[in-house]
Amino acid sequence: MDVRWKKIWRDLTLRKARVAITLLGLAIGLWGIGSVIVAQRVLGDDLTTNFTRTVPPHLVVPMRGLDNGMLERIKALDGVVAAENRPILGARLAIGAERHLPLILFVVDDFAALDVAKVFPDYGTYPPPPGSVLIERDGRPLIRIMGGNVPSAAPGGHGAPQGEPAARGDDLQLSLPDGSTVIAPLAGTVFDPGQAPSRMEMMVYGYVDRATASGWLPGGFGDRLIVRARDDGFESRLALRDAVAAVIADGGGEAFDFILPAPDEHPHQFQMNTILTLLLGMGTLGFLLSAVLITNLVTVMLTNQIREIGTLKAIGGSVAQVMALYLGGMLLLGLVASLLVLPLVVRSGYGLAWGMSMMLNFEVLTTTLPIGFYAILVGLGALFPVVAAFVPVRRWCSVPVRAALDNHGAAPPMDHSAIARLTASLPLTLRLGVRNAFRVPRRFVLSALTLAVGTVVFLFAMNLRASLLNTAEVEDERWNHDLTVRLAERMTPAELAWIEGFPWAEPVELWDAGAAELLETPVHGSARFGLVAVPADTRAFVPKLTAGTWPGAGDTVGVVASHRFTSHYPGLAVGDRFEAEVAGQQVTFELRGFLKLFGAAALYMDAEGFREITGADGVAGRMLYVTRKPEAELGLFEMQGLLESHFELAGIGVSGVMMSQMATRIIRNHLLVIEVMLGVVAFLMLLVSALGLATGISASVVERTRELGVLRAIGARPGAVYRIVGAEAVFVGLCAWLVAVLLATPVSRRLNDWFGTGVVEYPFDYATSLLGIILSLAVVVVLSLLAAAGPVRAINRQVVREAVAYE
Amino acid sequence: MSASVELAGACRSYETAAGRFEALCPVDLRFDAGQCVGILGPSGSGKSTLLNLVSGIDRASGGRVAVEGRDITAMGESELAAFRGERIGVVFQFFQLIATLTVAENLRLAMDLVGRIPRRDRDRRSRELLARFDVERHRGKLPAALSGGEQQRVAIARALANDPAVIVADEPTGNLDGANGAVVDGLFSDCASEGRTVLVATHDRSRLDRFDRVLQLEEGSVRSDSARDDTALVEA
Repeated sequence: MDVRWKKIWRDLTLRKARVAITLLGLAIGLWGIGSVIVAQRVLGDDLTTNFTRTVPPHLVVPMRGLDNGMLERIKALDGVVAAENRPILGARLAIGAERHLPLILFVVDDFAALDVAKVFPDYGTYPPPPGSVLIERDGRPLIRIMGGNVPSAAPGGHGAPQGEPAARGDDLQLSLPDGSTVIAPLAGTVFDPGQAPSRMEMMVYGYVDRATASGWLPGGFGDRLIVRARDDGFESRLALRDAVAAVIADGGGEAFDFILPAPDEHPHQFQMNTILTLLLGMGTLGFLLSAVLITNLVTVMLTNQIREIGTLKAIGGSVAQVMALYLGGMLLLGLVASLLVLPLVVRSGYGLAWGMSMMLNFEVLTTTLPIGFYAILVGLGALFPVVAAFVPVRRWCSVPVRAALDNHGAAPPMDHSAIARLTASLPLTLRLGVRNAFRVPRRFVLSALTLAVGTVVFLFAMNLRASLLNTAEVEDERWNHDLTVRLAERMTPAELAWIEGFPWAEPVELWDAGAAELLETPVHGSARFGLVAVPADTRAFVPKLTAGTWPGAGDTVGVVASHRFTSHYPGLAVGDRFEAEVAGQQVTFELRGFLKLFGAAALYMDAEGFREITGADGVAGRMLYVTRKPEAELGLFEMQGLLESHFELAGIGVSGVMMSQMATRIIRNHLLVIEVMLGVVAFLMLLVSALGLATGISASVVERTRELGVLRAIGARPGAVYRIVGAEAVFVGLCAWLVAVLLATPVSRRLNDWFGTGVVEYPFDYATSLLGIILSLAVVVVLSLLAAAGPVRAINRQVVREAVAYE
Repeated sequence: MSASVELAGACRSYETAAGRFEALCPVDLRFDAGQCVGILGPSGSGKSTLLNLVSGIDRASGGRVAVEGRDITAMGESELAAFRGERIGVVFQFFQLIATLTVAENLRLAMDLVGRIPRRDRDRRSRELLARFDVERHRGKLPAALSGGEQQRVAIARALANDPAVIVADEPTGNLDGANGAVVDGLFSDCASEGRTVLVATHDRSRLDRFDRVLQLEEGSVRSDSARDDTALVEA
C-alpha cells in the first residue's frame, strides 16, 4: 500500500470512536437522502404509468339519451380513440348493523372489452357473473378501518390478511339511489388505479354489468359518456368537447356537464410529488447536517496534526499534497459509509415506494434499478465528505510552515469581557463551561446551528402533527351537528315535517344545493361546481373566511368560494364578477370571499338568494343536518340506524349519511403514512445534529487536553471535568434549542401551508405543539449531556502526565 | 567556493501588541557548500528565525535569501515547497516524525512527496540511510518506540532522503543527552564533508568545536562570525 494511504488509514483508525460517530452520522445522512432518491427513482413514472395503463378518458359527459347509434357516431369522430357509456350510480354499501359507506357503482357494458377507463382483475371471478359485484381492491382495507365486515379475503391482494381463505360469494348489501336495497354476491376485486384511493376518499368503488344494474333499477339511470382522444392537448380536447356536444345535440341527447380531466395524471399525483419533495428536502437537510460531522472530525484531526502538517510542508510537501492526505481520508470515509449503507438505502427506498403505493393504491412497477444508478449514489456519497472537508482542510493546510510548527493546539480564551461579567455569578464549573463555549466562536455557531436545524425539523414534524389534529378539530367545530344526510331527491314540506318528528334529534336544518356551471373554462377539471345554499340563520355551520365577507340574507349575487375552488381558477380575487349558469338561468356572481373548508371545490351562497334565482320551494332541500339531543342516550351509530329506519318508513331516498367526525378520519387517513415518515426522518435529523454537537464538543475537548490535564493535576476529579464539559454542551444545546423554538413557528407555518395545499389542496389550521417544545428541550438536554460524556470519558482515562504533556 | 546560501539584507520583524519586534535585523551572510556552520546565541537571539528564512519555513520581511543561486523570497508557496523538498533538508529539535508511520515509511513519505528519487530506488535508499545512521533495525517500528537519539537520527536520515544541498537543523541536540548529541553532531559533520551546507542552531557552547564556522547572534544581530580556528571567538 502506498505510504500516503497508510498514513490516511492510520490517522482514521487512531480516532476510532470519533470516526465511528462520524461514520454513523454520515451513514444516517446518506440513508435518509438515499432512500428518498431510490424511492423517487423507483416510483419515477410508476404512478403515471399505473394511471395511463387504464387508458383514462380525456372527456367525461354525464348525460341522458346516449344510445348505441350516438355512441358509434362519437367513436367515428376525428381524433377519438375510444368511447364508452359508463354510467355511475351513487349507492351505499352496508358494512355492519346500520352502518354504511358510500359506494360508487360503475355500470360496465362489456368487462371483456374495455377500451377506456380500464380496470384489472385482482382476485375472484372476472367478468363478474350476472347479479354479482366487483369492488376496487382498496375498498377492503377501508371497510376494515371502518370496523366493518371485510368481504371475501383476497390472497395476495392489496392489504389482504395473509392466510385468510378465499370466500368469494359473500353477500353484500347495497342501498341503491332509488332507496331500494339489494343483496349481491361479491364476485371479487379489481385494481382500478384510475380512482383516488378508497381509504382517502372514504368511499368504495364497485363494478356491475349493465343487465344487473338495469335489473336493480327498473326505472333506469343516467348515462355517462367517457371518451379517449388521440391528442391530449388542451385545445384539441376543447375541440373534441365541441364536436361531441354537437353529436349529442343532434341526436337529441342532454349533456349535464363536460368534464376535461387533467390528461394522463393520476388524481393524487400531486400528493405523491408533495410528499416526496418534502421528504427529499428533509433528507437533503439531514445529509447536509452530516457535513458538520465531517467538518468537526477534520478539525479535530487537523488540530492534532497541525505541527505534522508543518513538518510535511517543511520536508517538501506542497499544500495540495498535504490536503490530499486528509481529503483522501474523507474519501475513504465516504466510500465506507456509502457501501455500508447502500443495502439499507435500497431496502428502505423500496419500502418507502411501497408505502406510497399502499397509500395511493397503485403498483410498484420498477423492480430493478441500473447498476450505474447505484454507482452514482456511492460515488456521490464518497465525494460528499471530500467536498464538506475541503474548506477546513485547505484553511489548515495553508497555514504557513512556521506558524504550523509553533502551534500548540488550544486557542487562547477570547476577550469576552461581557460574557465574563454575565457569567460571573455562576458556579465555577458552569462558568468555565459557558466561557469555553465561546472560546472558538466559529465552532460554537456551527454546533449550535446544526443542532438548531435538527431541532427545527423535529419541531416542524411535531407542529405538523399538531396542525393535522387541529385541522380536524377546527373542521369539527365548524360543523355544529352530528350527521349529514344527503337526500336522493329534494325533500317536500310533508317529508320535512315527518323528519321533525324524529324524537332523538334537535330540529333539523335543511340546506339546498344545485350546480353552477361557470362560462369560463377552468385550468383543469370541470367548470361545473356544487352551489350550496346556506340558511342565513344556520346553526349547523360556522363559516370561517380567509378573505372577504359572508353574503347577507337575500343576496342573489354574492358567493363565497371554498379554498379548493381556487385551484381551478387561480387568478380569482374577492370582488371579481363571473358568469355562470344555474338551473338554466344565466347569472352574474360576485365573489364575496374565500371559505376555508375541507372538501370538494364548491360555491356557497345565501339560501334565500339561491331560492330567488332558482325559483326553488322555500322548504325544499337536498341536505339535512341533524344534531343529537343532549338528553338522548344513544350512540351516533345507533342514531344513524334509527334515522335511516325513520327515512325508510317515509319512503325518503337517502344517498348518503356521514358523521361530522368523518372529516377527522378523512384527514387522518390522508396523512397517517406521511406522519410516520415525517416522524422517522425528523428523529434521524435530530440524531445527526446531536452527533454534530458531540463531535464539536469532542473537538473542543481535544484542543483543551492539556488544560483539562492541568485541572486534574491541581485536584479536579473526573466528575468536575464532566460538569465543565457537560455545562458547555448543555449551554450550546440550550442556545440551539432557543434559536430552534424561535425559528420553528414561522418555518412550520409556511411549510404547513405549502404541505397542506400540496397534499389535500387545503392549508392546515396551524397549531404549535407544546408537547414538541417540551420534548425537544428534554431531548436536546439529554443528547447534549450524552454528547459530552464520550469525550470526557476519553480524557478522564488519560493519565494526567500524558494530558499535561499533550501538544 | 560558490555560495550555497546567501542572505542579502534579509530581516524579519513581527507586529506584536507591544509594538514592532525585530526578530532578525538585516544581515548579509553567505554560507558555502561543504561548510558545517554552528549558529550560537541565547533564546530570542534570532537563531531559529535565521534558519527559518534559509529553509523558507518563514518569509523575510525584507532583503533577499538565495539558495544555490535561487532567490527563495521570490518563490510562491508551491514552488518553495517543491524547492525545499529537493534542495533543503530540515531537522527539528523535537524530531517531528510522523507518529502514525514507521521509521522506514517516514523516509519513504519524504521521497514520495518530492518525487526526486526514482520510485524503484526509494526503498533501497531508505534502507541505506537508516543503516548509515544505525537505525536500520528499527525500520518497521513507529517513532514512539525509539529513544530520542534514535528518533533524531531517523529525522536526519529523513532530511537526507531527497539528497539536499543544504541541511538546516534547529537545536537538533537540544533534546538529547551528551552521548547522543555527539553522535548527531558527527552525522552533521559527515553531511558537510559530502559537500552539503549544514546550518545548525545551538545554544550549547561546548559543541562549538564541531563546526567549521560559528556565527554568534544576539538580539537579532550578528555579533561575530568566525572560522573554527579563531580561538578568540570560540572562547568568547
